[in-house]
Amino acid sequence: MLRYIARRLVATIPVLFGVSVLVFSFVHLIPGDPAVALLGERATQENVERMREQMGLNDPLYVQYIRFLIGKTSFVAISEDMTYTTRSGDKCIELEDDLVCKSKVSDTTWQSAQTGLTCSRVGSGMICHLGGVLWGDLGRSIHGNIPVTLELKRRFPATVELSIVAMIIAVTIGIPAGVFSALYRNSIIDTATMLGALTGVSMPIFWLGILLMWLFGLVLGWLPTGSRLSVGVELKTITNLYILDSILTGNGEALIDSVKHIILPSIALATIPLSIIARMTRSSMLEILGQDYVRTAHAKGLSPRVVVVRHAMRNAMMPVVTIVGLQIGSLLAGAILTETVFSWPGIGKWVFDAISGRDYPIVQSVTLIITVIFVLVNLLVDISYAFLNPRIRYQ
Amino acid sequence: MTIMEKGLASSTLARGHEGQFRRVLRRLLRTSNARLGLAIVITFLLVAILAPIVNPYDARRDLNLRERLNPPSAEHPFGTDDLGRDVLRRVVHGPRVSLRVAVLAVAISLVVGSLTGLIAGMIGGVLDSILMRLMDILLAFPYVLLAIALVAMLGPGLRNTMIAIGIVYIPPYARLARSMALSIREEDFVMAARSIGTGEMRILFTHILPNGLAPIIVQATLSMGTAVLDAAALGFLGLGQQPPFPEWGKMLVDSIQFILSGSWWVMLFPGLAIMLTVLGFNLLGDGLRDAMDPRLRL
Repeated sequence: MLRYIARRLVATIPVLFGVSVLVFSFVHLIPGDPAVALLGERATQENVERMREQMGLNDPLYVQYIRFLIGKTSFVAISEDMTYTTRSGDKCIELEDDLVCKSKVSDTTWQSAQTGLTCSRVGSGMICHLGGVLWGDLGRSIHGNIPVTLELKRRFPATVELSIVAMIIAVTIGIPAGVFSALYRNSIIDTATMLGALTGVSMPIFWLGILLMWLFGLVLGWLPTGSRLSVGVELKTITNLYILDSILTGNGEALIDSVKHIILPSIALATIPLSIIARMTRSSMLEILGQDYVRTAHAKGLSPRVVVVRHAMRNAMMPVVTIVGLQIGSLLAGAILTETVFSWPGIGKWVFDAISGRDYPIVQSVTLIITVIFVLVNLLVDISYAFLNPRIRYQ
Repeated sequence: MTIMEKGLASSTLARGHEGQFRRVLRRLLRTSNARLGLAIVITFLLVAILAPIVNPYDARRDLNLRERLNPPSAEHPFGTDDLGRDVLRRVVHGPRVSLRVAVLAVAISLVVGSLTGLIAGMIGGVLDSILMRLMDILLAFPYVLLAIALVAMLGPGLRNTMIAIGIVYIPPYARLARSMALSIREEDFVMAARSIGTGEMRILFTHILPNGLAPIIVQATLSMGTAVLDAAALGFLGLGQQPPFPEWGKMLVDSIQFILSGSWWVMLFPGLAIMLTVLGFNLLGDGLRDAMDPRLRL
């Protein structure tokens, strides 16, 4: 088992490497000079040249790639008497025309407010870096010059909350629907479910979103059509997952309000995974129900319920687990469309705005982050799969 | 094998294929779902081809502000949009864009992917490993996201939409073609061809490709549907066809702001058109899969 996990981990490294190369090369896909694209057509030659220098576009590609990964990393030897304490109690040190400080509250990182240079104490010196995705620094947005990581931290919980709720809907409806269709094959339940599932995968989710918004938000007026909370509803945030936060703080009003807000977007986002899970569960169940051991179980007089739940479903769930894992990537990608329709303030809406504003660093970073998450989730799915099905490990 | 025997073998093969084609078509038309899918696909293809002939449309001049956002009526069965343009007319001119993107994107992925897979499978060794690792990297991305990112970088427009969708669809074809090459290259008839000195390329195109086409055709039909969906999604994000030319996805994103004022018809019909097209390809693809390989029937 450990060997299997180790092998899967090792296999992930070249994939992540390839992903990083591809995402790094995005900026070179921009037609013409990326510096001109960022500054606009009317930029002076001088400014363009300075931008090229700043972006490091004049360096060889491999240098640019390494910088994309680790940024400008350096080790500075320091002694205790080089640091001093400001009046507000922050500790500071001057490094090459820059001032890096450590606030009283945070105990390990030193950061420059001016350039974003970040340092950590290591032995008798400091390791400092500026940029570099491996350090978790994804650069700054073009508009507003905001650190991408900061904005990502703020927005990611909204997308995660939406995706979790969508996944819960997809699994709790999709699996039973698939099981029942298989049990009552060719019945009206089966036909209806499969027709629904086929429509689900054929429907653009943004259109479904608009339809839901129009019907339940405007015509019936039952549910809100945008954002995460109504104006005037207060919530003290801890995790930024609003439903969880309102439960943790015992805020009933915010709980009801945030649930109401999440229903429509999560239904829209859930449709595709739900349809795929239902179809997969059905076909997997049909295959298992035809197996000899299921017939044996029936023959030895077990109740149909026991046969279905204990013999068939357990085995039929194997491929479904993989599908559920694979859907997480499509959920995160689908969030871009759903969040745009419902003005949901997550990373999807952010990417949409970034695309319209040609804010390339945001598009690049979000693609990288979502893909890395997707790869890691698939790794976890593979490993959990091996736990569930011992035969996998020995292949 | 003498020349005569070889001729005999190839003619039997050819007859086998003729029979296979008819058999597939007969099986396909037997199920009502597949018939429905085929009918939908043919209808939209006809609309795409005939619309500019029967009902020429110059999107650049289409503007009638006196008839803004009129609900469906006898004159405008699908109503009018915010610029007073007839929604029916714009929906009818939509499949030209969507189907063109889908056909070309699928063609790019099919050709590049199949060749990659066949070469990897036939030659094997280091080249196989490199090509397949490249495919793994492409597969590591959620594909819609990769397509969005590619077009966002390359710049919006139909051509880049096709290229981006074409690229992200490559891996399944490569994998299919590779496994097909691996399994077929050990078959007796390939050994026979090789033993009489047929070149590798010729073996590839005359023996391996025709015998492994079925899963590739099924994959292509199913991915036509998803390509229409993804093209609409890119259009929705403002990355596909640029205004004022009609594209279903773009029509949908523009419609959102008018729903608040109750103009539901602006968003209903383009969405229905996308759904029907995709449904058509999905029904047809499922039908083809069942018809070509009964073992795969779910």
